Amino acid sequence: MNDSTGEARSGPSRRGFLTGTGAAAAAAAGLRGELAPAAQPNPAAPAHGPGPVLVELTVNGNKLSTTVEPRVTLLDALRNHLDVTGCKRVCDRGTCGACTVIVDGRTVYSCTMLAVEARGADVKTAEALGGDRLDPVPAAFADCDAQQCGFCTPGFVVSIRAALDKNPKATPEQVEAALTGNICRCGTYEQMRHAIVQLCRKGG
Amino acid sequence: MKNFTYHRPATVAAALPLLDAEWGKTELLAGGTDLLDRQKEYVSQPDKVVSLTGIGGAFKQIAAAGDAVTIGAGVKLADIAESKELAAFPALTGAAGEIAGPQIRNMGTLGGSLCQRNRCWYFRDEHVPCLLKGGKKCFALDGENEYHAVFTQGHPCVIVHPSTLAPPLIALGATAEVVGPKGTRTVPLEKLFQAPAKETQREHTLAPNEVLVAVKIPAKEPPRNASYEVKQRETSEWPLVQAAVAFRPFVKVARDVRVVLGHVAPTPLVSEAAAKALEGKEVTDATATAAGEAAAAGAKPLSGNGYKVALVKTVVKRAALLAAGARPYWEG
Amino acid sequence: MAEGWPKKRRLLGTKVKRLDGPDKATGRAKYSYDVNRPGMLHGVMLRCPHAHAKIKSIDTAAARKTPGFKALVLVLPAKDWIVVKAGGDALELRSVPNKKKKEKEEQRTVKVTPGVTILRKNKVVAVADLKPDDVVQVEVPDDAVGRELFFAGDEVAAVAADTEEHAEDALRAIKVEYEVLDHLVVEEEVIKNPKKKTTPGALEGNYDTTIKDATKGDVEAGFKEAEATVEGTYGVPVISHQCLETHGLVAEWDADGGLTVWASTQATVATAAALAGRFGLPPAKVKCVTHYMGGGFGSKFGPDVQGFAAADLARRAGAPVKIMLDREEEIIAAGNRPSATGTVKIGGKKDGTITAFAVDCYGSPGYTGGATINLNLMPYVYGDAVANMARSHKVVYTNAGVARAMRAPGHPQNCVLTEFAVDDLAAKLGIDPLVIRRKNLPPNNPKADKVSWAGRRHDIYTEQLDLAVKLSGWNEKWHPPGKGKPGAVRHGIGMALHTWGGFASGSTTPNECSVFISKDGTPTAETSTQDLGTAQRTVTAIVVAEVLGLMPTDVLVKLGESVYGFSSGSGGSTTCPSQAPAALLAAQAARDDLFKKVAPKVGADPKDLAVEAGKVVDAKNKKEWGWKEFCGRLGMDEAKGRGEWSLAISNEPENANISSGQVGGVQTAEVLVDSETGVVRVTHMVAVQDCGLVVNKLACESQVAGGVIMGLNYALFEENIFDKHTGRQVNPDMEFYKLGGLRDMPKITVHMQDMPERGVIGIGEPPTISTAAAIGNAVFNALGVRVPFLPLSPRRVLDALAKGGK
Repeated sequence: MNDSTGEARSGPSRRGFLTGTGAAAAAAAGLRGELAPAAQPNPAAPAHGPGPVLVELTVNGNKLSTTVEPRVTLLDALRNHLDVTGCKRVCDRGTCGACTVIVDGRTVYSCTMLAVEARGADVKTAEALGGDRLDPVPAAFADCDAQQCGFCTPGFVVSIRAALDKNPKATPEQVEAALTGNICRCGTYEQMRHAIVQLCRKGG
Repeated sequence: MKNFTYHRPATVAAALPLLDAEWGKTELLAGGTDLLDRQKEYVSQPDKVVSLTGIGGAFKQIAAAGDAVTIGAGVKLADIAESKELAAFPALTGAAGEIAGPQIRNMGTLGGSLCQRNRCWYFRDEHVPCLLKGGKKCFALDGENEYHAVFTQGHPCVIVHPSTLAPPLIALGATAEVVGPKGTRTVPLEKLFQAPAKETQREHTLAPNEVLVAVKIPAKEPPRNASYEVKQRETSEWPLVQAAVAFRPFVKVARDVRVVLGHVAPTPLVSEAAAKALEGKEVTDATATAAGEAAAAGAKPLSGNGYKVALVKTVVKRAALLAAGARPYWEG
Repeated sequence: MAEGWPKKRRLLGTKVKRLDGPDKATGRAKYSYDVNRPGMLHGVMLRCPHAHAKIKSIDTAAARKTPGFKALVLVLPAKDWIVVKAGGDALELRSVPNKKKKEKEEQRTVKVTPGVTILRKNKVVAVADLKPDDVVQVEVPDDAVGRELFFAGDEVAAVAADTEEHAEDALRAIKVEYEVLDHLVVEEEVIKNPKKKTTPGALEGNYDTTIKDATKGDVEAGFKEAEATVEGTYGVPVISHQCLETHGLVAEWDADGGLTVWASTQATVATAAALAGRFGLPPAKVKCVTHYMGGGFGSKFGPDVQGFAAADLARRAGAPVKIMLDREEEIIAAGNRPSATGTVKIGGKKDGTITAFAVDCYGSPGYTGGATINLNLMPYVYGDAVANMARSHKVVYTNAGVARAMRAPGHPQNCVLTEFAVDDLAAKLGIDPLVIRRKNLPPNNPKADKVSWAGRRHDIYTEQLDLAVKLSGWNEKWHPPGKGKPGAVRHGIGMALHTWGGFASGSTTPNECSVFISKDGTPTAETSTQDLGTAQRTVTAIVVAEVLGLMPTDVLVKLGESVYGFSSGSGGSTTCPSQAPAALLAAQAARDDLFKKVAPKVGADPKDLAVEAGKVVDAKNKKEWGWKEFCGRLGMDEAKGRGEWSLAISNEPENANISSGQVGGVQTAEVLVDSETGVVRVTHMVAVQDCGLVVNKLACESQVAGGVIMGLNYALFEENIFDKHTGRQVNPDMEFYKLGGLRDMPKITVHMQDMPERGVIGIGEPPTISTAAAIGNAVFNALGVRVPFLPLSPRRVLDALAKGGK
């Protein structure tokens, strides 16, 4: 096993840029900083895995950690290792949106992101919208019956939450545009539209 | 997915020594949206994955300087779609904003879009020994080829190139900045692509130990430009056919016309014939239609995708009209 | 004498939010897929990659050595043996012959080498542990040799390991050699090769020709009578259920030899019973839990191969095992809706009369199974009105996964074949197709009860047509096919009709519900039925709350556990009409028990007591008690009631207005078709639907809109595509197996006809039936060219336009 706790997430971009002969050549070609093909010095990029790697992340405000092989996706780490099951595995190929989570403020398909890539990240799942005070998005879904089997719902709810966080004054059309990466099979879209109208009227 | 060792270098320089001189054992991870799919299907089984997500700075920035805009290969598709620096290139921003859904655009990168592998369902099936997996035949030729190439001449493998950013970038005269063990080279973007025919070839011309680090678009007096694509659904979907058109208006006519087709051939396809049909002419319904006809003229469709030839005509016409600022007649 | 539904409806028929809405929307609801048990292992299935093959050899030794490996099961028929003699590495066995099946006793001797597994009482044992007359199951790897596999995806083995990734590694380490055999995966290839046999069964070739042609009247005379006749070939593809929660379960054995499974199933009781049978357990020893369920649509009625495998792995490993299929497996092996291709000839008159209808069709249920569509339903809806018809059907077997019921099995196919022909006939006659629809509605049966469907179906359809015409603006928007406003983008409008049963379950054991009222006044309703997303949990609460004068949120509903009495599987839209009456009777019985137990304590006569909103009243003596106050007088006692319901009970004359069946529906579709791209956008759907007594208007409308959307996906996007050379499905995913998203969806206008006098009728299936036919007809209306095969993709539309010459 060759493990480390991983570098700080935003660290590399702020560390000193490389210099060297290669970089000079690159500068001539118009390349700067990180893009330069420095011949040396050559800082080591350590190998992680193939054994389990420590992954520490923040999930819904809680600092969690687990060890998983490099091949384990964020989705599987959440579901199988951290028992965070609001994100669902449906297509497992970055198409259907049931696994949608917010990583550092942006929605991603957690099935298509390696857990090691999420080290140090701030991850938000649908569970963050529950608890004592129900978030307006799931509340609108419940009010308008915008769910049937409910398996796709957490993904839709997270996508809408992110869209409204980005633009609290979003129109229903803009919210709908944020849902082109989510699929429902029961056919709850008509009721979902009612929920979106309710949310936009209330201003997110 | 087969397990692997994972590296996350902080610079391109640190990434280079981790790469192999041959394809297969090592894969670069940018947004992961293509690589993870391939790994899950066991179509790619790298022992080593080199993540580029730790590389910051210019790799992840869009920078306007002098007569060019440089987009780092690590820039997310969502950021291209919404970029103010790229406002003069609606062909590019529009195409970026049409890719899949928000989640993919938040994950996928420019470099990934250009260097991703094709979506052919035979290639993506571990159990089908197609040409690109060391097999002896292309199964799409006499198989299910609804989504495959219609410009098939000379191509033993009839995939379509999957990048939706490549056609507008080529139309805009972009160049690729590539870094490898021998240093840096600049490649006109259309030369970045090739039609693969065997396991040891990719859809691009990069060497296995090279990294695409940036794309540069000439920005001095940007041309009029637009991209138009036909998708079956409004939901996360690959275009069936796409065209990007760029030209410079001179008095009332179009000059320096570039027409590039997407999703119709193993590479993004520059249509000289379509460009010629518009060159020196006013862009009207009639000339745009003629350009579409010219673009489709050389098509040699397969058993199941003749309809895509009709789509070529439509997308070229519509992209030309959009670039000229015409009102889209196809919208209510 | 049944008391029936309350005359005054306080909650019934209103819009009630589902009780579990917030839990589902925030990811707190635990589906079977979400169950993580302590020490749980992950299992995966090994499947044959070839469309038709025989196992030549199988070697599991390397797999057993992979990191994290825990157990391996070969997919073989389960069989009990009795030990005759055990010693050393040899085992002499005799079979337990099934006398009913007239089986003979078999003997076999097993050499116990590594890889041979012996199980006794669901535990792995060694030869030394055995004594004569022990009942054992024995897995011998060589038994798998020679096994014939009939589709790419047929199950071979399963393994369990500590992580999913390790399970996959172990799976890939199993070495199987196959003898690859000829396959046929495309129906047209079967037709071209009538003698070629690649599927099981006693027939020559891949046909079932035993289905009799059905005729009525004189079809030739009917065509002679016609003023116009058209013939067309139309078709719908095989599609997948695409349940978002895949099939599978978590299996856990307890110390007492009992088995609990958390399954994604439409039938908790049947799933538990099947597992009990498979593992030789008394039914009470198996519990199936399905608290939340991520979609079934007709495909989830039992444990399936992977469910048995999970339980088998769990007993061998001595730890809980989860197997949930992945997306590809879900599509290739967990059921599908069979295809239908039919050549239809239809003749009629300008007044709309259909004088003759002839159909010759075929479809594929996969490699085995029966008829794919019920031919007797054609011409769909209009069959009773049409005097002359000829119908024939062939079942075409292909090397593909086997069909399962899917939301109104057989109906959508029949609807498309019939309704496409109706509109083509109207075009030939030069009339509005609405004229044909009105003219050929099934007549009322004057002998039937006037409240019933049969007694008023013509009236119901007529009212539905009137409503649909009004809500869609049909009279203003309809134009002759292809004669709308010219331009690249063409407008069209289309219509189709449907029918369905929706009766209570025909199961001989009635569906049960129990209601308990404790001294704190909280009623608890227990039923083993499952909530597939139909809001059955909320239905139960509404009914109980209505009877007890409470709000649905006051009722604790415990459902989805097989131990809560009998319930039938949720198929055929039978759940609500079985369960709502059972809950009604249970709540009424619990209320009466409450009155009986508390009345003496408050000095009242039980027969003077009644429930009103929030209270119990004694109208005669002008006394009343708050609900909680009244229940508080129960003390240590508990009031309880049990209700049961079935088709037989509902058929008793006094029960007809508690639940009944048969509904109709009319749908219209409005589309915009881009004739230069072939892209179809549906802009407005109208769905008019009757369903008897509406329990929850909110969820009822959701069901109807959901049915419409499923129908739209069928019309525009869905198709299982197979490659004839490789024999493999090329799109077992959600990338090229397409489902629409929000922005692909039209505005949907749902109109429910409330007919409380007919009692509860199921609504899950009917609203998806006619959607695709209506959309297909709208596209025809837009283009003036028939696009005969679904899905109406750009390819199909442009190809049809190219052929149509317009």
